[in-house]
Amino acid sequence: MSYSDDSFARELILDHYQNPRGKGIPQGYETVTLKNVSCGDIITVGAKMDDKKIQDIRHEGTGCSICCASASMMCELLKGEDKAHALELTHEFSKMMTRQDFEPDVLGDAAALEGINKLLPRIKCATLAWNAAKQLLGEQGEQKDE
Amino acid sequence: MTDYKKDFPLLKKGEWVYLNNAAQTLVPMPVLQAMNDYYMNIGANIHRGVDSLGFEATRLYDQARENVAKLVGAKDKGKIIFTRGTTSAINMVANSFGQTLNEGDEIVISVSEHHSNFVPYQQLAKRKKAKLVFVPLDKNGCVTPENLKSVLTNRTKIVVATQMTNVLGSINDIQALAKVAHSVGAIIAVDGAQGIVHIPTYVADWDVDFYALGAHKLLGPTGVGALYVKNDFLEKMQPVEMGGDMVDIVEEQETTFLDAPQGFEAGTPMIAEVIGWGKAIDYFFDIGYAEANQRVDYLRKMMVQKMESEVKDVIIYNKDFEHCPLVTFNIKGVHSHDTASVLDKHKVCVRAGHHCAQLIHKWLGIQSSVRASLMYYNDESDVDRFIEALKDAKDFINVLF
Repeated sequence: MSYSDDSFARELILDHYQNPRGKGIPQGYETVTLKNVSCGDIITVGAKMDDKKIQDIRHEGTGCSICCASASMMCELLKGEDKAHALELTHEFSKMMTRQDFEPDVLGDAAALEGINKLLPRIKCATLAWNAAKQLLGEQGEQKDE
Repeated sequence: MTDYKKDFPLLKKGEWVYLNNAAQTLVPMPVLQAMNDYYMNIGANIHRGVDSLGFEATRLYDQARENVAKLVGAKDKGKIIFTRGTTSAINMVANSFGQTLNEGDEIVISVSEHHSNFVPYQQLAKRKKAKLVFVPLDKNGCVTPENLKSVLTNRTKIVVATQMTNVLGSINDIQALAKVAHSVGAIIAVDGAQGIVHIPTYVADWDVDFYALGAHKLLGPTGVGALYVKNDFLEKMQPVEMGGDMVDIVEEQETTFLDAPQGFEAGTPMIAEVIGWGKAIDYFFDIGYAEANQRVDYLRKMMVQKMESEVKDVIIYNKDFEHCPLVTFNIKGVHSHDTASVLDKHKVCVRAGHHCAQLIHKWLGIQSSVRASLMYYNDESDVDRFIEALKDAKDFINVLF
C-alpha cells in the first residue's frame, strides 16, 4: 500500500503536524538530540527502554511540518516495539527516503511521507527524529548533529 | 524596465525567479567569459618567472585589486588583501590583528551580526580572555552611535559592525560608528558583505580600519573576497598563512616576509576568480549604484504592498525599512521551510531558515524566517510570480505532498 499521491496521506501528515503524538519527554528518559543546522530545527527523542523493548518513546523540539509530523508518526510506530524490530523499522523508513525498495505496510502512518523522497532538500527534515531513534537504539550516528 | 536578465544564463531561460540575492548573486556572461578567457588563453600562475603569459595573468590580477580598491573607496590598492571570501577576511582580522589583544580588553559587537562576523570574535575573546560586550540595537536592528557610545570604555579595542545586516537589511552608519569607536582609541572592523552591494562605500574617507567583502554577493564568482586594511595596522599584523609567494628571503633558520598585500596571500591564489571579480566590478560600475538601487527600491515597495494586500497572514519583520533590498517574513502557522518549499515548487528561489544569524532571530523572538532578496536584474514579473506562489503557502500540505 502506498500513500504517496493520496489525499488521505496529506490529511495524515497535517493531522500529525497539528496534533502530534508522543509530544513531551518525561524526566528520566534516555534522550538524543539532533539539529538541522541550516534552519535551526531541533528534535529530541526520548525513550524508556528495558533490555529488549521500547516501553515508551516520545519527542519534543521545534521544526517544520515534515520534521514534526515525521517525529510524531515515528513515536506512534515504535512505542511498545521490540528494540531489534524497531531498529529494522527505522531502516525501512530510511529505505523509503532514499528511494530503495521498502515495505510500506510495516511503516504505519509514516508511509504517508513517501513523497518526501522526491523533495531532496527536505529529506533531512523527515529523517531527523528517526536518526535520533537509531542512536537511542544503539546505532552509531550516521547523521549526528546534521 | 531595462532587461538586465539577458546577460544571465539562468534568468534568460525564464524558468526561475531568483530572489536569493543576499545569499549570492548570479554571474553575468562577461564575468564568466573573463574567467574562461584566463583558463583558455593565459592559464599561467602569477608572480612567477618572466614569461609573457605569467606577466599577463599578474597584470589582470593586479588590475582586479585596483578595481576592488575603487569599489570600497580605498586610496591605494596596496591596502587590499585577497582572501577566500568575506569569512576568511574577517578571520584574518580576528586571527592576525586580534593577536594584539590582552586579557581584559573588550570587543564590542551586536546580536545582529552574521555568524561569520560574530563567531571569529567570540572565539578570539575566549582565546585572549577578552570580554565580549554587546551593544543594544534600536527598533530597526541598527547600531546607533549613541548606543555604541554607551558601551565603550577605555578597554574597548575592537568595535565590530556590519554595514548592512543580512536578515533585516538594517543599515548602520559606518562613518559615524568609526568616529565613536576611534574616540576611545578602538578600531572598527566592518563586515561589508551585504552593504557593498547597495551602498556606495568610502572606507578611506569614513576612516574605517578593516573592511571585509566577498565577490559572490555582487556579480562575481564564489571563493574570493578581500580585506581592506588601513595602513597603520598592516605593520602590527602577522601573516596568518605561511608558504610560497609571501616570503622575501628564506634562510635555514629565519624567513622575512613581503609587505602587504602579497605577504598575506600565501600560495597560489584564486587567479581566475580574482580576474572574474575585477570584471564584475567593471560590469557593475557600468550600471551604477543609482540605477541599481532605484530598481531595487521600486520592486521592494511593490513586493511589500502586494504581500500585504494579496497574501493572507503574512508577517513582515522589516516592512518600513528604507533602501533595503530584502523582505524578511513568515506566514502565520507555516514554518519557513514549508513556505520556501512551496515557492521552490513554483520555481521561486528564496532563503529560509536562520540565515546563519541565530542571535538576531532570537532578538526577533522567532526561530526562522523566509527572506526574499532583490537585485537590480529582477523585474515586476518576478515580484508577481513570487506573490502568486506565496498565496499557496497556507496550503503547503497540498502543494508539497
